[in-house]
Amino acid sequence: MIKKLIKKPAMRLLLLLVCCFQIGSSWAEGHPTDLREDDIAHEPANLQNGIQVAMNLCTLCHDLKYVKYHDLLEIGLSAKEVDKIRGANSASDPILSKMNDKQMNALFGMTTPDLSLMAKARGDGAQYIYSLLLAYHERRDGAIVNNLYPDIKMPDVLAYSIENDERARSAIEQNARDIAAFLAWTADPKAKERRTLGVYVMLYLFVLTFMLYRLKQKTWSRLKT
Amino acid sequence: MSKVIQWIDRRFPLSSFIKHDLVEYPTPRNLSYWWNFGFLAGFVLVLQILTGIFLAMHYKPDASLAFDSVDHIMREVNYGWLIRYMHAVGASAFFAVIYIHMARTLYYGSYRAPRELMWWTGQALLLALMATAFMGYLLPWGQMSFWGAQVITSLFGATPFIGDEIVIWLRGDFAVGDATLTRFFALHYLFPFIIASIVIIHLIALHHVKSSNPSGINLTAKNNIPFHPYFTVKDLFGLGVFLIIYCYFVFFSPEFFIEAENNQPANPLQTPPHIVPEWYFLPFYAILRSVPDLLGGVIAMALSVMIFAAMPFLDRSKIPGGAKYRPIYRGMFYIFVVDVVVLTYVGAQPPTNFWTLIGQVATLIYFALFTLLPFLSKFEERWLRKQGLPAEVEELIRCEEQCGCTDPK
Amino acid sequence: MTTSESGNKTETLEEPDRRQFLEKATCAVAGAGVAAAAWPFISSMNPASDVLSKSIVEVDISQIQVDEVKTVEWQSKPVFIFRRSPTQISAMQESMGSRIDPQPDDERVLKPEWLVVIGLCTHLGCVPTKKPEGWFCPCHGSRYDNSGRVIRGPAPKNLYLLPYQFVSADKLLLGKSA
Repeated sequence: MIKKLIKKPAMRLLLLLVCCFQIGSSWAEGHPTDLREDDIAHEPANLQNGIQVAMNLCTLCHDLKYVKYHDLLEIGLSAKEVDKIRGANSASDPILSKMNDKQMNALFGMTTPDLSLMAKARGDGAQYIYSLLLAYHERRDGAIVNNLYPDIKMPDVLAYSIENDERARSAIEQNARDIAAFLAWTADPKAKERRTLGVYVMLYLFVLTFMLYRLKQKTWSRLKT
Repeated sequence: MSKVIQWIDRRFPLSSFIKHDLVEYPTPRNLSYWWNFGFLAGFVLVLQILTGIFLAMHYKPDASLAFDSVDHIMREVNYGWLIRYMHAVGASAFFAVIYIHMARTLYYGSYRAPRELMWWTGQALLLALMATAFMGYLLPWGQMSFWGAQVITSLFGATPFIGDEIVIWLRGDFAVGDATLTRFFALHYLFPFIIASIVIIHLIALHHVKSSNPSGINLTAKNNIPFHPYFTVKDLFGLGVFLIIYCYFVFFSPEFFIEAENNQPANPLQTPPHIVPEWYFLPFYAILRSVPDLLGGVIAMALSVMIFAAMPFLDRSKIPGGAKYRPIYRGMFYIFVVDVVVLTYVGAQPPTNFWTLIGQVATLIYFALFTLLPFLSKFEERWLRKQGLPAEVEELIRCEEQCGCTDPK
Repeated sequence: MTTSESGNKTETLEEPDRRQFLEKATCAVAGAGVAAAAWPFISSMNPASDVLSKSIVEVDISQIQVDEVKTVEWQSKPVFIFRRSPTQISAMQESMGSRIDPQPDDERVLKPEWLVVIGLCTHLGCVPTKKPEGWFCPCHGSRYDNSGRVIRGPAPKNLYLLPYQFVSADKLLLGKSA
C-alpha cells in the first residue's frame, strides 16, 4: 500500500514539501555554530547536583521565579534537603535571587534575566547554556571574554578560564553540564511526564488506526466485486 | 426510544437529516484519500475550540499577567501543558490540513462550476482562520507574539490618508499594549464561532452540489455509494493517521512550532534580532517583503491570499478531471507548489539582498501563474482537442453531456 | 438518488460475523480512547497545584494572647485560631453544646487551650463575629459557644473542624493531621 502511495505524484509532492519544510525550519532557527558537542545527562543525580551549584552561583543574581521550592521535590530531593535550600522561605515561594533590581542595575547596568525558561528561550536549550558557561577564556591583555556571547555582562562564575588543573577543569565541566540539565528541567518540568504519556498515546493510536484500517479494508472489499 | 424520536421527527427533521445527509448521503466511490482533509479540518476546528475554551478558563488577557498565566497553565494546572500544546500544535495542524485541502481543490479543479460558492466560502474560512491564528499568537505575550502583532498591525498604516489613525484604532494604544491584548483575546474567542457558522454554509453548499471527484465530472447514480459506512470508516482511518502525526508533535516535539524567542516575555523596548512569523504565514510574508514599497507590499500580500477566489474565472478550460488530463495546468500546479515552498523558505530568511531577489522572482512567478491561467487554459483546451483527447476523457465529456450529470439534481 | 451496492451479495458469504466483531471492537477501543481523552480536560478544572499547595499553611501562634482569635486564610476560607482561658476551657468541657449537634469539647480540640475551626457559619457560609460567649453569625442570627458548637439555629451543625497539627509549641500546620 505504501509503495502505491509513494508512486502517486501528489504523494511525492507531499514528501517533497515535508522535506523542504524540515530543512527550511531548521535553517530558520539559526544554530550558533560554536556550541560544544557533549552529552548532557538528565538523571536525577545530575539535576540534584545542578540545583546545588545553581543555588550557590546562579541564584545570587538570577531569579527562577516560575520554580517554587516545593517543585524541587519532583527531581528527587527529600523534604529535608528542600528545607535546607529554602531556608526561611516558605515551600510554596518562588526561587528569587538574593539581589533586588536596584543592586543588579548598579552591578551590571541591567536587570539580570530570569532563568526559569532560559533553556527554552534559546534554540539549543541545555546545550547552549552548557556551552555559554564554558565559553570564557583569558585574552592576552588579561581580560576574560565569552566567545559565544561577547557582550555578556555575566562574569566567568565557574572560573573555567583561569583554571589550569585538568581534574578541576573536568569537575567544572561536569558542574556546567548539571546546571544546564537543571535549567532544562526548570524550563520544561513536565517533559518526562509528557514523554511517558506520549508513548502510551502513540501505542494506543497505532492499535486503533490499524483496527480502523482493517475495518476500512473489510468494508470496502464488499464493493470491489 | 423510538417514541422519543417520533416525537422529535414530527417537529424537527432529525431522522431524515441523519438518513439523507449522514448515512445515505451519496458520495462518489472514486474519492481518494485527498478527499479526507475536509473532514480533518472540521475535526481540528472542534479540537481547537475545545482546547481553547479550557485554556481560557486559566488564561488572563492582561499585559501584566498574560505571560505568567501561560506559565501557570504549563506548570500548575492539571494537564495544562497538554491542553496548551494541543492548542499550539493544533494551530499548525489546522493550516497544514487546510492548505492540503486547498491544494486538492486546485489540482482536481473542484472550484469549477457548480462549486464556486464552496470555493468562496472556503476562501472566507481561510481569511477568518488567518485572523484567528494571528490574534491567538499574541496571547502568550512573548517576544515573538508582541513583535509579530506590532509588525502586522503596522501594515494597516499603509492605508492612504488615515493609516496612522487606523493603526492606533486597531491597537487601542500607540503601540501594541494591554488594550490590544484584551481585544485580541475577545476576538480570538469569537472568531472560531464565526468560522463554525461559515463551515455550516460550506457544508450546506456541499450537500447541495455533492462532492467533486477525481474524474472531474459529477458521476451517475450508480457510481455513488452511501456515505456510511464507506466514508465514515475511511475518514476515521484518515483521522487515525492524522492523530499519530499530531500526537507525535504534541508529546515529543511540542516546541517545534513555537519560536524559542517566545519563551521570553514581551519587551516593547527591544526587538528580537530576527523576527519571523509562524510557518503558515511565511509565503505571504515573503511576498510582502519582496515589494520595496509599503503600500505596494501590503496590496501584493492581500492579493496573494485573495486571488484564489478568482480561480473559477481564471480557469477557462472545459476539460474535466482537473490537472489529471491537462498537462499544462498540471505543470502550472506543480510550479505553483514549488514556488510556495520557495516563498516559505525565503520568508524565514533574514532580508539580505540575495534572499530578497529570490523572493522577488518567486513573487513574480506566483502572480504570473494566476495571470497566465486564463490564456493558457484556453490554449490548452484547444490544443488538447486538436490533438484528440484520450478516449477516457471523451467518454467523460460525453457522459457529462448525455446524462447532464453536472446538474446537481 | 438511489444507491447501489454491487457487493451486497458477497457480504453474506464473507464472514459477516468477523466484520461485525471487528466493527464492535473498534468502536469499543475508540470509545475508550475518547473517554480517556476527556480526563485531562475534566481534571484541568480541579484545583491547580499552586492552589493545592496553599492548602497546607504554617501559622505562628506564639503572639496570640489568651482570649484572642487569630483569623488566617486556609483553602481560601477563614480559619479561627482561638486561645481559650482556663475558665472558658472548663466551661466548655462541662457542656455538650446544644441538642442541635451535641459533641464533647475534647473531640473538637487537640490541646484544650487551642480551638481551631473553620470560620464559616454552617448555615449558609457567612463569617461569624466573636462575642464573649462564643460566636454570632450576623446573617441569620446563629450562635456558637466557645467550642464552636451551635447553640442556636438556624445553623444545623457545629463549626467545621479541619486537619491540623502542632509542629512545635508555637507553630501550627493547617491542612495536615499528624
